[in-house]
Amino acid sequence: MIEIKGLKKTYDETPVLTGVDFSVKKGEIVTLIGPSGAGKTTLLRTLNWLDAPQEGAIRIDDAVIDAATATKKDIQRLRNKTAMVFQHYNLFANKTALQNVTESLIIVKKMKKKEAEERGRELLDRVGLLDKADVYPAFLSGGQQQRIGIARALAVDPSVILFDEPTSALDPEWVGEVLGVMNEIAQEGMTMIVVSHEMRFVKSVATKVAFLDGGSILEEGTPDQIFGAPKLERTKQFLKTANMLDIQDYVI
Amino acid sequence: MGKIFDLEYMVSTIPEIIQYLPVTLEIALISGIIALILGFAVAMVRVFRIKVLSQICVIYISFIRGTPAMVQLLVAYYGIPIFLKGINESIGTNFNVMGISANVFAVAALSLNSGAFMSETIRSAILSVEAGQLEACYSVNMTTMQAMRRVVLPQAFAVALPPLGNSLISLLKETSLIFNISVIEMMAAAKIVGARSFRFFEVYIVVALIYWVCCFILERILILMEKHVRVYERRTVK
Repeated sequence: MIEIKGLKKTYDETPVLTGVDFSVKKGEIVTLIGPSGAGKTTLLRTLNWLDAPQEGAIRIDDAVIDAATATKKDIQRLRNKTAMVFQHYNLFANKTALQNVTESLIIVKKMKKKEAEERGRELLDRVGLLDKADVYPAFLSGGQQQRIGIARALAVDPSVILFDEPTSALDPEWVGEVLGVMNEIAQEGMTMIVVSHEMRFVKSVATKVAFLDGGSILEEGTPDQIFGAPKLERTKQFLKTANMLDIQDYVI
Repeated sequence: MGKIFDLEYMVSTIPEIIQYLPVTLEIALISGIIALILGFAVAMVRVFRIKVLSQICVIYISFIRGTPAMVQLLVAYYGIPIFLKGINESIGTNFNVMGISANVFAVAALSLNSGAFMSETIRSAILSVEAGQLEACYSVNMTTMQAMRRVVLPQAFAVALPPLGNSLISLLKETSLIFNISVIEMMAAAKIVGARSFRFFEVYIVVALIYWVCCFILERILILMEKHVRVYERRTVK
């Protein structure tokens, strides 16, 4: 369903993605892990064209975009297939919770206001925040804001939702509620690509884990494979420093 | 020589001076609207770095900020007719240069002046809106124009409102300069009245008070507007 081929990107002179080939099947929950600066977030952002790669191609369902020939139409078609949940929520500050969700329905999908609001309330209910419909983001907790962020992404009705460290800016007590919502969406069969080191999520929900370093995917596999028996020494080393390895090198 | 300060006389001049208040307000209002539109347009040109236009705007802002309003007013008053005459002669059009009222020059000069300052206010307000807001718009497939209209500009407006209010108040007060280009407004009326009695101090006090009242009303309106546009912000405890 998602196919990424030879994706390359440099910021000024610094290479960020050095040739990413990757594919995701429908319904898969993929987590991207790796050290900071590995290109996880950039890879995720290229799928929403928030970062434009210089080389390579992306295909999501019937939307195809080639970095060399990308037109505005291509970009819009790609964005129509993807939605992003941001690390710092990035909710529209001047819109209420409900308006955050309905904005794309009304402006992009040209839905009637009443219809959009109905759909918006449904989605708010789904993330458990129907009672906050008329509240502005500044008056919501981090966890609530992030759940609205997820509802806003769902409103796009995308083929895949991209999560960029969705819980890393949250207080510990709020992480659970956001993970809960993500779990539910995953159960309903939504395809998800998640940059996260949240082991609770990776272990229980992810169907696939990809390890990135130096701008490319070095190893991928099921969570059991990656955390239980990583093939590469580099992967093992990273998991060890990140405290994510299942196997112990030594026993006390 | 009579009293040092003749209060009774002062009060008696109010009706004659205040009848020119509409002229002042009209020029301020029209200039304010044009300045806002101009300032917004210039800000957009600079935010989107539109080639050539952007450079022209930089020079325009620099010139306006670097020259006194009084000089700009006189340059407009003497310069625009010469400019139009030049156009008439070179391409054979037939503008009636002498038929243009001085009010037009006043509005042109004041709105060009105020527009330059407002453009910088609006530009910095647009830039102050977090990049994440625009990204969020893109992430749900909005176009740049939609994002600007629905999310970025409303937030920028809330930021820009207090300094824009300052500019509007300055503009209202700067209308007191335009008697220099023979527009009869409050200041000119005061001079005429004062010249009859040689009691200039009293009439200028009247002008000052009328301006103060007008600015005070404008200030209150701006405060109400500010409260309204900032509903989505959380207030911190002071």
